[in-house]
Amino acid sequence: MTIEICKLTKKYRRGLRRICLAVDALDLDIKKGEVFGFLGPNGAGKSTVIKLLLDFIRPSSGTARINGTAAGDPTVRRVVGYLPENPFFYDHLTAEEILAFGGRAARMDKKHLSKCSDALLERLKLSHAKKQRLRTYSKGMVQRTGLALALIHDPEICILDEPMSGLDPLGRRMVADLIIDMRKNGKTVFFSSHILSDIERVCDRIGILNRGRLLYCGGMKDLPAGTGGLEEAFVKLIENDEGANGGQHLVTG
Amino acid sequence: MDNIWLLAKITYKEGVRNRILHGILIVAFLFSLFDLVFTQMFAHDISKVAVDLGLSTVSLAGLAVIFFMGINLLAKDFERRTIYMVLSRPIARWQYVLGKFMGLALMVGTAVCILGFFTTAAVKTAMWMAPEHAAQNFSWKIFAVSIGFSYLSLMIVTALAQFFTSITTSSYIALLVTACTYFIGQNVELVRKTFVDQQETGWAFRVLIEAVSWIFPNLQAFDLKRAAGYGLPIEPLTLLWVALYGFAYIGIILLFTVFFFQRRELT
Repeated sequence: MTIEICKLTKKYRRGLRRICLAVDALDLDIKKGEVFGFLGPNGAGKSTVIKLLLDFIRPSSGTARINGTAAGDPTVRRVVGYLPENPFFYDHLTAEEILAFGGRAARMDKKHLSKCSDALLERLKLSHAKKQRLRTYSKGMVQRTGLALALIHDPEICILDEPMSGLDPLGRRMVADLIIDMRKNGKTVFFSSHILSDIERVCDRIGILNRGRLLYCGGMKDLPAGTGGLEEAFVKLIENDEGANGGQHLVTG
Repeated sequence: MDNIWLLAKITYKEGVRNRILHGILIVAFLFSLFDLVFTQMFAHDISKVAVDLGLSTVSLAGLAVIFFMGINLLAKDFERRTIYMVLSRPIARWQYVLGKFMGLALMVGTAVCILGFFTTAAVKTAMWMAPEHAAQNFSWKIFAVSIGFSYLSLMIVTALAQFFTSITTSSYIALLVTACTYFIGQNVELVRKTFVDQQETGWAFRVLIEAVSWIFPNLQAFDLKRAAGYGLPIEPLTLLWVALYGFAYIGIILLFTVFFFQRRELT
């Protein structure tokens, strides 16, 4: 397994006594070369799981491993590319400099890095602005720069948090094509999204999360019978779960 | 070491391209010009006044760089989550702390070099205009050492600013606490001398003052303005101890920063 999540739990303390459960004993395995879509309503715990995988936050219990190594080990991130939900960069640096930083941190040699950087910026239609400071970029351009930074070192595993957010239809198409290409090249992609049509188009398997619990994990064709497509299935699963656990607080993270 | 240097480089670039830094340097340049005009109003000790004002400009402008830029650069990493861009690479948290510190040290160092140049030019011009009022034993070496020690004290403030930014959630709180610590650091030695050596001071107060003087940095020790202005000799051994104290203090603060930052949740 490329990503192994075992009984992963994250609790947040709210005030002195209240404890909120953001992720509840999550078990999830993602195989090498698969595109896994992570779905859930706002506050379901998708970003929390991603932050746990990248060691931004620490689990209350359970484990997360990437390529067999604990997610807390920084060296494991040599094979990981990550795009945050709303990427922000240093305002006064250029896209070229940001990519140089990302590539050098992953131990790429300068010549190869320069080639990869130019090719990636070309593909993401950022070549014309590569020497421009990032504070002059539009939201879509920042999102694409984030994607370029995630991919600069040709990572084995890509973890993308809402990669389509802030992009116009053309940009979304570009990202979807990139994900499909990554699958063709044997890369593993783990991404969260609200855009169900994109998930349907590119994912091998999906996981549906609500209140930190995994309600469904499997292929698109294995969805409960009679639900009529991903959207229907998603709404039904969430509604059933809300009915069973109404009144509990959601935690965003 | 590579990762630390990479991070230092982008922190430095981000800092020196910021307009706030340019603004601070322009104000400092104007202060140096003012230094020249102001010294002409004195009949005696012109070089002392020029050196005093010049070195004060270096310290104050350096502090402004730390307060308005350094803390802002550090806090933005947490507030705007730019830290995700860094820590999603194979960079350990201790490397992040050291890389950021090194970048800020380079940025403040660049500012101090430029300010030092302005100040040296202002002092030199003041002395050229009134050579008879220059201190008899004035030494450019001590003047340069004085700028160096100003820089070292600014590095202590930078390390403290980074520590407070790492443990607080707001840049305003970090700024306030750093400014308070700076103020205490500037006066702690004076307070200690005033109260601890007096017989009538109660033991509890004496212990408290002693404890405070150990916790807060004694920034007064790095102030060599008097020696530079009057051309007084300085014991090399004293300088060595003060420098060692400065480096040790920075090292300890960075260790604390790493310790707390390792445990911080980046939500």
